[in-house]
Amino acid sequence: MSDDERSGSRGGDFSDSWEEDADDIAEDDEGTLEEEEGLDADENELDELQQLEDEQDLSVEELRRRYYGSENGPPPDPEPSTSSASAGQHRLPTDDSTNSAAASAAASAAADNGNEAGPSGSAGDVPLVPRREHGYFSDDEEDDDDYVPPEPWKKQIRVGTDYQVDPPMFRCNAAAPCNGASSSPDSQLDSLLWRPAQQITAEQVESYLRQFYSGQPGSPVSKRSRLDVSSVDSNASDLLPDINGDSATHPAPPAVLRDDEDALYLLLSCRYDRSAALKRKSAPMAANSPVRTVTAPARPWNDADCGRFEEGLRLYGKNFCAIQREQLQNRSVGELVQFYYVWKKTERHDMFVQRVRFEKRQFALNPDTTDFMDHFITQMDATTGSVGAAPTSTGRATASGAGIDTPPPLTLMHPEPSMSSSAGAAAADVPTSSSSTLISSDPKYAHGQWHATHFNEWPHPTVSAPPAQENAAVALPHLDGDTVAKALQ
Amino acid sequence: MAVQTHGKTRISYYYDGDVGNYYYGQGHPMKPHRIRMTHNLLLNYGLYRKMEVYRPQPATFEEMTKYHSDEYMMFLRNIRPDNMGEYNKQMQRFNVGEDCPVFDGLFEFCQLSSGGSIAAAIKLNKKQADIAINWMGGLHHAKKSEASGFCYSNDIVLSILELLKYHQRVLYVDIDIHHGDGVEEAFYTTDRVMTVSFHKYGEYFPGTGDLRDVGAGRGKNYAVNFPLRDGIDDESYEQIFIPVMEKVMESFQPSAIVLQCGADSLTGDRLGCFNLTLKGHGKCVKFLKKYNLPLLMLGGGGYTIRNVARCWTYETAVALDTEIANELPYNDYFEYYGPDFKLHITPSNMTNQNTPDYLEKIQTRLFENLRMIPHAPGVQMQPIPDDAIRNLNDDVAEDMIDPDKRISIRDSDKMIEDDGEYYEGEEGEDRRNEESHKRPAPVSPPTTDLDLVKKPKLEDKDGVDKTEPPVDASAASAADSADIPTEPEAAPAEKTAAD
Repeated sequence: MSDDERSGSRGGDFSDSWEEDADDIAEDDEGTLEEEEGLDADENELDELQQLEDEQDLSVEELRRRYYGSENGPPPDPEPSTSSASAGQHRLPTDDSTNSAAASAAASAAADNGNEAGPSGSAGDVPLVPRREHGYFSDDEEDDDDYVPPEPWKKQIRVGTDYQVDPPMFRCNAAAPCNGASSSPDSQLDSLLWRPAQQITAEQVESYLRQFYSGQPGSPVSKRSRLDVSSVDSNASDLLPDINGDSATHPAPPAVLRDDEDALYLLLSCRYDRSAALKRKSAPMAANSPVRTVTAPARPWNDADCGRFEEGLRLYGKNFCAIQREQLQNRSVGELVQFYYVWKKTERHDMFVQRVRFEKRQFALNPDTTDFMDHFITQMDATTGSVGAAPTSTGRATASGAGIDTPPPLTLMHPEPSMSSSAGAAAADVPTSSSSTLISSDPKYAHGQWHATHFNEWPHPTVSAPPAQENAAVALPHLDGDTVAKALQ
Repeated sequence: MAVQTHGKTRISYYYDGDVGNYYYGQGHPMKPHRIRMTHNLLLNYGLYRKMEVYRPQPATFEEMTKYHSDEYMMFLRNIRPDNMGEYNKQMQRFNVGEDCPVFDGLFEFCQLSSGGSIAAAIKLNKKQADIAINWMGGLHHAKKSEASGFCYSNDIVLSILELLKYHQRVLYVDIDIHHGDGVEEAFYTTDRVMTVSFHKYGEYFPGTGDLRDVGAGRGKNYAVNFPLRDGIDDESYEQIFIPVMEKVMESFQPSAIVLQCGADSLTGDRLGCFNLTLKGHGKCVKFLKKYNLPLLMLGGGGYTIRNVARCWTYETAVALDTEIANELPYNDYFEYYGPDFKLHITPSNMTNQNTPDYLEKIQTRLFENLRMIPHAPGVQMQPIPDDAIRNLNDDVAEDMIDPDKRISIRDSDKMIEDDGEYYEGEEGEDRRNEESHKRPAPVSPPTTDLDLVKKPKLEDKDGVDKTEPPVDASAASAADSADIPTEPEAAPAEKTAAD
């Protein structure tokens, strides 16, 4: 590829006198000159000589324009395409823009390069027009010299019928179309869920919302879990203390009256008749709940489901399709995703993470480890004799693991420990310092127990949580499984 | 405490409760759940009741193929995680698989996102809303027959197509950190849509959005790209956004605006590298809102999901002219917002690599391009009709017919541009175009002849278009014209070489 050498070396010369930074060009060329020349020098020699001759006659300005411009052209390795372009262009001035000659020259030069050409190859990811075509003929390229030099990451907007739209006819001059004029009637485009209206003031809406919430568990202000409250049964009567508890450790969020989709939808469908709406409020509503991603009758999550979900997560990662296929065939993938995002913020998640982390560490153990703690834990685990089915042993593992190296991961997980307590947990009352002990001692044990026994002994979360469980919640901050279950009812 | 919204801006908000349940895949940064988080914050801030809220119907296949190719949409409709093996070839062809994985409910997700934006656009067309919001939309990378950058169907293009039925000129503004390449490409050759994108440029996805990419054919100078470097902060962003947009509004005079509010331009984004806060980001919304034109606000990128939810909640409040507290209210995903549980975020101490000098320079160049736009006369035309409409409250709006001015302007626009058949018309003037026309060259060999035939026409066109030639272009234009004849020839030749 004598072309390379030629343009490269020249390019370097010119660039020096021009503000272009010639470094990379020079670098690129030097090593390869001889080899490349040796490769196909004879093919291009005549060509080259002729071009050199042609060039003698050119003015500096023209040369400069050509080479300078082309320097910016090709993205990955400038030389080959530069030479092809310049070769094509050489004849132009002398031929006085005889197009056919120019074209053939360009074609031949390009063809020479084509076989091994870097730029065409790199630009070959088919649909992208390479930037390199820019520089050759342009004159104002110099204006942009401090701008981005062309590089392989660059892509081009493509032009053609395969890419552009067919802009629709302009129907009428910016006048509002008639209401019914649209191709499809309103009802098919969207369904209205709420509309502030003239006949009801904002204050009236607010008072309606307060009344609506008054018979319900949960605070009228923004609450931890909207989902909890929207469930018909008053299962979340412990939410209020929970919120109070939280505000003890956190500056209470402003008492913004929250909105409830269902409440407002009800009000809308009662034509803003508040009393009528309140009368109907016990009717189950789902103004904008998932319908496509969730199987028709939304079923509550029980412990078994939750356990299977976690097991699936352990086995397949967040491949919810696989979890659905292998673990929870009675639920849709969408349901799993929804559950995941609620579960994720609960303490069950934190414990799960710890458990998995611990397992991983165990697997990663190898002879040249220096982490004696792991050995110690493993041994201890082995001696406790908790061997059995996967869930049980993992439960044990967590228990023992948590006992030893819990504090660091826990603090990692929770820069704000009291927030770690999940939606329904009243443990937020517990001061920050003691909450960590809570987690590392009592609950840890309870957690192990949970895994050993959760199919049988753990109080099954029923539709309405018994008060006894509320007490349990105070003692054990990780009732989240139940909370989650409730939340997703 | 509550802010009355009656008689003020009417907002229509589009949301589908399913959208949060789609999952791109483990480790994938795009999380539709962020839209649910946003929605939940809106509810708990009490913003929900101030808006008209709609659950859109999923876009139909027919609606989506108004832009996308039938084949591509059929593919999207058919592909599932469990039958991917049968579609290997097509997956490659449509760029589905890596960045744009096949996930459960993929097509539904596209339908929801597009359905929301289309419904929102129709709502604006009917003048039943001043601002329509669809945080499910804004997927600006999707191409006609190709997925790209986590986007499969381009709801923005579809909604702009809808708006174009009743608006002669639609402005698209993109403040995502990524270049809005899908939208730009779709409208690259039309002068009825101006696309303006502010984005990180340089070793960055999607690699388009060069300052010099200005559109092609009739669309020349109707694509505006502001390439940015890492670390731009609120102050710098405002310094460029406002003057550029003022200029754009003045020279383009759109009758509707579509704003893509990609939140990956915020500080701390998982994929982004800008340093904006909610305030800087939201200022763009505030600014465009002031024009009182029908405004469609869409979502987009955003990969630190707690900040996405914060941002779009804040911008909904901005649209509603409502102040919301910095303390986040309790909500379903309260824990996600720790450790501070505040609405606003603080910028990092990263270096702003956009020097005032650099920004200034780019801005000057953009202004030069914008000056090339055939000037729509009558500076007053934009405010007057819209003010009038704004005052009409409800159904009366349909009786409003805009002053004739607008038609005449449009007609005159047409007269100027109509003779340029397709985009080949202007290649002499700009290398972008000469290049773009090279693209189809190998497909249709006669291009060369066409170009030759058209050449005389071009020169005429140049005369017409260059009403206000840029200062620096005049010197170059002589050389330009000398080069003209060579380009069409060289192009196909090179092309074959590449093949």
